[in-house]
Amino acid sequence: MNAVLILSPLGIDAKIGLMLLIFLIAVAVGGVGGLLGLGGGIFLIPIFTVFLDIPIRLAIGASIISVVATSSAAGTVYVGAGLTHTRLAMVLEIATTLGALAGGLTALLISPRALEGLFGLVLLYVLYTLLRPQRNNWASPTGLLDTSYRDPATSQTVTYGVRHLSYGLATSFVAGNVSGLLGIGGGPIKVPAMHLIMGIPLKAAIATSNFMIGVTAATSAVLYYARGYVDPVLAVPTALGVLLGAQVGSRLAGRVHTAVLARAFQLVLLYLAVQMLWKTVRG
Amino acid sequence: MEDGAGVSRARNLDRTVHAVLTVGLALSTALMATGLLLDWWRGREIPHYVLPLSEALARTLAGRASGFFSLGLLVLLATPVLRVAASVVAFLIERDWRYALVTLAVLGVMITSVLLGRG
Repeated sequence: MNAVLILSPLGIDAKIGLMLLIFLIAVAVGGVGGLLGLGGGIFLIPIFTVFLDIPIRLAIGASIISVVATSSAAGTVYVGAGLTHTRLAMVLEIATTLGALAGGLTALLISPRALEGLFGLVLLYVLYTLLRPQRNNWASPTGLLDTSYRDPATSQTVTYGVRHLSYGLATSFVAGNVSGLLGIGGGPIKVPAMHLIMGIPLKAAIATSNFMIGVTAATSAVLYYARGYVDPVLAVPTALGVLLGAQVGSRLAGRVHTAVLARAFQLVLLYLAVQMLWKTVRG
Repeated sequence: MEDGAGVSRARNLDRTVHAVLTVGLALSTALMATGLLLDWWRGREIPHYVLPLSEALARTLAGRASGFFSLGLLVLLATPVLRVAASVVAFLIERDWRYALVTLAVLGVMITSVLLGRG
């Protein structure tokens, strides 16, 4: 029978209760996702599969919908603030959408257990990218896609250009692939590459990555929708909750020290990664 | 390209993108929230599956919650696609052929995904 019917035996009141619980989880996750530029799925999928026993493909379906929502919501704020490098985003989106298309098709073919295991490993990788020092101050014009923005925290105008575009395209393909396969945004894969190798200032890299995530996630989300892996009972409260949370989170993102906040969530990610891998091993 | 013209072009593009994202989000949120309200008033009929566009439209017009949910989700998914489509048009109007082609390529991949989902 269709995988989307697995939750059907729940009674009516249980259904409303589940929707409310999912909504509350999504508000919290959306706020954190908006702040860290993490998209939210990285927290949603382990919580859904490990704690609510939701089949991973349905969790991915709900998550990828919410990732589209988060990115659009954060995009309306970031684009307004001028932090997003729109043109660079559009070039890199060619690679991310191709990756997402391939990833989405792959996810429909491989086993749920393999998806869970992969997710656990990607969580560990995300943790590694957060632990790595992420600072450089050598942002400068390069003659390639030069642009500038006014930093809301320091009130200074930062002008920078792009380096190593081909490396950026390759990383973007991988990020899109992971996004389509596992239902996450892929920000933690793109942001370090954009910042450390392409020379994009961190805030601009986060904003530009967030901006690309919506287009990337929508590419695989339409596949999940058409193939029956989007359950409205999960996806609607997740999307609405994440939207509410992200409105708050992304408005604060330019003003708080995201590095400090990221530290606090490394422990959460480690815990979720261990849970996810344990679930895979246990079967 | 002169600096002044470049900045104002970038600003126009940002404004277009901003408008598409805001309208799409508002519409999608309103549809899903209406679906929730309808559901609470008129009995619980939220199914565990989503509907294709034509069926979602028909049920929304009939005032059914399931239609509002699916249509809201479809509008949410259509927003990034429309954002890219709007960018293509914006670049064409600016006669920026290179970026019109870049955004057209992105739009092409997204449409391929929609077609593969159906097939």
